[in-house]
Amino acid sequence: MDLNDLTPQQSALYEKFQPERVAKTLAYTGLLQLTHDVLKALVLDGVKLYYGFENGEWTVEGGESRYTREVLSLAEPRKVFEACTNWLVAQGAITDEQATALDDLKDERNAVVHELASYVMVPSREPDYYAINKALTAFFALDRYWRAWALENGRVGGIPEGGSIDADGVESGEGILIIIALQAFNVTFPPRERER
Amino acid sequence: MNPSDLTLEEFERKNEPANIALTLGFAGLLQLAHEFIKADVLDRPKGFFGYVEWDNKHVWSFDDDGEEYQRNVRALSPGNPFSASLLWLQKMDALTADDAARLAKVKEHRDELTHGLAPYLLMPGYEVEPRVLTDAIEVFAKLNRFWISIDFDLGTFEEHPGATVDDVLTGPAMVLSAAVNAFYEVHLPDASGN
Repeated sequence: MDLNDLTPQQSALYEKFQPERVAKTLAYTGLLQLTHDVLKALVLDGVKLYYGFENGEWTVEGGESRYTREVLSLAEPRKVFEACTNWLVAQGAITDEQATALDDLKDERNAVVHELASYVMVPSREPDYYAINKALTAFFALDRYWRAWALENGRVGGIPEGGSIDADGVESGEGILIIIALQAFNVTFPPRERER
Repeated sequence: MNPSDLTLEEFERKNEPANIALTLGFAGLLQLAHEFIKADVLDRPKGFFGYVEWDNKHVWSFDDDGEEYQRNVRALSPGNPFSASLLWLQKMDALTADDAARLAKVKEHRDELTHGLAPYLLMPGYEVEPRVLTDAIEVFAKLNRFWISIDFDLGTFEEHPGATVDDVLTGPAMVLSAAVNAFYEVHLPDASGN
């Protein structure tokens, strides 16, 4: 096959299906899957625990109504993640920019994981290979915030199910895990400058 | 397994970047296979009973509320659309009970990797299951063949007299094949034959 004879569309498809590129999209999907638990623990579970949601139930009287009034009202109905990041900004746990990075990462994760076929097949669809990097500082800011909160409130045990806060630094471990996985990904698929 | 029983060598081997990248790639590949299987198990039976996209909306084209689909498919396992579809596909001789059990295992392992990938990356003893990927590919091939045969019955290939089921390569089958080859070529070049 003479690559010079290909139309632009054929050429784009040829590039899209190069093994290195396909394998990179697949491995990045794995990385995005890995962020699921961290985002859930640091953002969703952390804020609910703050208002007294533990072991699958509200343990503080009035906690649920306060959570609804003070957190869920911060975003449009059913946009729970966005409401929580807005709340975390209001608490000074993260900056606006970090909240945006977390929201973007959550959206990127959902899009790539649930529409993976199109990211593998369609030349114009490419994952944002820098989405995780952009959210890294937010992971560690939240890690510090929740650990400080846990210590202040004598909660060394932390979140039982979400596993985001405990004396062993589980959430910190998850943040570090993402860096280790990211490094392994970058060794295998060296980043190109234009992806940043 | 108690982590304190593990040796440093076991951790070092598990945590090599190439191994971590392989596990990430495997998780993505199984997700892709799962996505295609889901389309053949859940979406195509609905299409078979007339659920089509029309003017950017999905409508039931044979009856108003998909009653035929509800009676023939969903009623086989109320409250569990995936299981109901698998039973219908068995009634249609597209799959065997063993195939359905293999797909259940595919979904289970996919869910483990999607929502709990961390130990598979770092902890010796947590290994991805290549057999599940093989099962996913084999059962998907059967599903794919079944739906191509339905397309033949519906006259989709009338303009290609003499064509057989074996002559048709669908987009998902091609993409999954390319993805499997890419995975092996990049992560396991010695096993890929290249």
